[in-house]
Amino acid sequence: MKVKMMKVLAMMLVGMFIFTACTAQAPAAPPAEEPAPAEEPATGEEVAEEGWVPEKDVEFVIPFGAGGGSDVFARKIIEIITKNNMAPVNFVATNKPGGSGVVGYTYMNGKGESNYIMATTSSSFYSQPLTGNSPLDIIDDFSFVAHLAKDPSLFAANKGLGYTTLEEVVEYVKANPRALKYGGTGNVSDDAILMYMINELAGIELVYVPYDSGADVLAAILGGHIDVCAISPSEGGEHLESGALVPLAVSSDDRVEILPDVPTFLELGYDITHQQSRGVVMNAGTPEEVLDYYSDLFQQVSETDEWKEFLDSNVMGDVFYDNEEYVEFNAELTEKYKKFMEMIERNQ
Amino acid sequence: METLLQNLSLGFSVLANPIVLLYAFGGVLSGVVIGALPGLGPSVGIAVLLPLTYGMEPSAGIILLAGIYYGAMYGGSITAILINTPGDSAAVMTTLDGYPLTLKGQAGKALGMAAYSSVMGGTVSVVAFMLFAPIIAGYALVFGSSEYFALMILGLTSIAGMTGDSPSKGFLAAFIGLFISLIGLDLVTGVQRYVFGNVHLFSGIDFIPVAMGLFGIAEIISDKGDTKLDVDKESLRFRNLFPSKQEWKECLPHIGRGTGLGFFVGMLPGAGATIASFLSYSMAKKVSKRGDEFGTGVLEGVAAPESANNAASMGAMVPMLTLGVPGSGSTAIMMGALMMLGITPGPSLFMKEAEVAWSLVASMYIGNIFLLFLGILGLPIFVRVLKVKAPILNSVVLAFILIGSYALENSMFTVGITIFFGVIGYFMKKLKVPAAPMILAIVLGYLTESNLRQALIIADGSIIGVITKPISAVILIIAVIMAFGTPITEMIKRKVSAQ
Repeated sequence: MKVKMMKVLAMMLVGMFIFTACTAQAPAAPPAEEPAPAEEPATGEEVAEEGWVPEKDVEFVIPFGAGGGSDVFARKIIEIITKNNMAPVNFVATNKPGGSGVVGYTYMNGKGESNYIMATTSSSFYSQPLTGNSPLDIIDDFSFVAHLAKDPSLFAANKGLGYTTLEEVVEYVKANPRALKYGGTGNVSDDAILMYMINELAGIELVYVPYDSGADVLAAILGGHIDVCAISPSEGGEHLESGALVPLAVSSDDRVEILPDVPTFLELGYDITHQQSRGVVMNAGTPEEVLDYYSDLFQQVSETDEWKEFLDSNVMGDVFYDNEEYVEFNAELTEKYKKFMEMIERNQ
Repeated sequence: METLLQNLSLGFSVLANPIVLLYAFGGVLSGVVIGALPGLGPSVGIAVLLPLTYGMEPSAGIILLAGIYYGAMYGGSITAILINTPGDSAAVMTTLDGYPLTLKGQAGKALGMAAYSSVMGGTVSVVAFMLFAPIIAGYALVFGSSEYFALMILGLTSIAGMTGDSPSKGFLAAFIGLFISLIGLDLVTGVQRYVFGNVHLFSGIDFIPVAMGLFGIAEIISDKGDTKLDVDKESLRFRNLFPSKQEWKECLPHIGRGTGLGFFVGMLPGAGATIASFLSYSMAKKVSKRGDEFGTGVLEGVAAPESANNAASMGAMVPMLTLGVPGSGSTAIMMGALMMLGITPGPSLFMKEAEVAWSLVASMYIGNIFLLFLGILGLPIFVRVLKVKAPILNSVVLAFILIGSYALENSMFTVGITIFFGVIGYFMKKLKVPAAPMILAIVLGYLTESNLRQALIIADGSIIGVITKPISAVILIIAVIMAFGTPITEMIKRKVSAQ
């Protein structure tokens, strides 16, 4: 009797495992097998016909964990390339989190000169080397492939503060220095830079409170524990609609589409445009023709409707620079970050 | 009430689709399997299986992920009880009494109780989730840095209940843990602390590889291959998975308390299932009549943390779904997944995406029933594992631990950390220094420090301002009572009797 029952149980379990095996495969299959209704003719291979063409799979290093901004960004690029058959090889994502991106970049650097490894950039690409927390040099240790997007920041206030414009907040802090607490992510980050820029240009003194993540900043400001904050417009979305968060200004060059009524700092008379730059880099010494190939590839990606939808839904600015423009832009941005770091150091 | 039922039936109508039901079942099953692997907890499970949801209907995707989440929460207890290796940090407390029960030949009863208390904690919490989610979530935000700081201190005082025979050894382990939590870049100033230029240490030492080393590897090294794996087969017979009437009577109050505590703690952003199970266990130890026997293999010691961690996993979804503020690592990954599926969690989720939200609630009822079936019917398979010879099982487990630690960050460095702490754990075992306080201190140390420093900046550097906020003050007083209550009452008693 007992043996019989064991057998029945064993059978059921085998059934369960097969069940899961099927469920596990079913959803994974479509994206892989589906030939993708090519929205555009797959031109990838033809365009680069006489130049260099990759012959093996490319490792795409994401220097942050799964689910973060860099991860979503990189995986979208790969998805678009795969879906539209833009390249003859696969792009394989590798998450190498740690040390605010430093682990990922040193991992890539350790592979030496290679035409088959690249990494995404974000603001820590600049801040970590400049604060002495990375052994790598921003300009000398990398080749620049393509710049794809910029993330604006939103300067917002808690509803309970009762102010609806940047000017009101500035006036209040002028009268009450250090009275308002400003929450942001990380200690040497775009959020911190934005606050010190506001402090310097408006001649006021906001106090910086560093949190671990944008979600923590959001919880703190919604709970009224801090007064003002920097968040990404997409993170703030729901709370801006409900009125719990009052948007004051955005850090982009032009107004953001989802917040048409929120002015830029420039409009308000403050010379502040600071956005997180997102691009793709390779190791130093990568041959020009290889960079040309990848730069073209990413340009094709940036021209797809899927990419534009992705940028819109994440409130990122569509800013493409090819490999040559990116080198110049990087040099400028590095100088800018150097200045910011000095500013933060002076204030600490 | 009527709209509630309407909403719920909307949710169940989505589940009427057999494919969706299959996703729910598949999620729970793979969750249990992943949770049972040493070191792999809900967050790793969700992260690894996340790609499966690409291209799915949002409601199907979230149902699958939620299934993995609470399935893994239960799965963690299986290895905790059978081989003293917690599947994830939330199952650490389950090892304290679960494994001694296995040694006593009562593994079946322990596993059965773990399943029942998980399912009860989960089911009751779904009801609470449904009824109170929008209301309670409003209070989650009342907790700011100073309140969290107080909560973390309360968590740290539970070390007092975990010290085993020698309090000094327990606190020694806790202080080593606090030291480890200091390694990395300073959150406020970015100064390097104890990293010696090693970039892998910049973001600190994650407690998961430490836990895998201290619990898993140390266990394997010190295993002499003798009696440990010879579980009494008779105790695992189907019939023996049901605790006796007397045992139910003892455990039910702990399950009730654990569920309430777990749900509440889970809702607080950043607290989560680990802290819920720590608190629930130490509360059960305080409250129980045979509190002294905790740690030697009492069933209540399994029921309390297991009900709490499953309740907390439900609680953690409240702030994530209603406010867009995730309460734990796992819910943070789930939120990322939701956004990838085109759904933004937030106050209007239950209005704008009612179908998704309510089908998730409905799936949690069904998922808990699946969990119960798997917990009871699937056990013989898990127990089969025990019949494998120790050297074979140990090498398989070791392989899983090493793969798991590599998968955390795709890095050999975490594998090194795991092995390093495995060796440390071996010596701690030999010297009878308990490992649990060290893990708790690593988990709480960082949170205590960062919350305190944020609170201090907000209070303009005044510690008085931090600890006198009403909620912080109340929590801190409770912490003091928990830490010093017993020694002080004993001192008074001694004085009284001396007179």
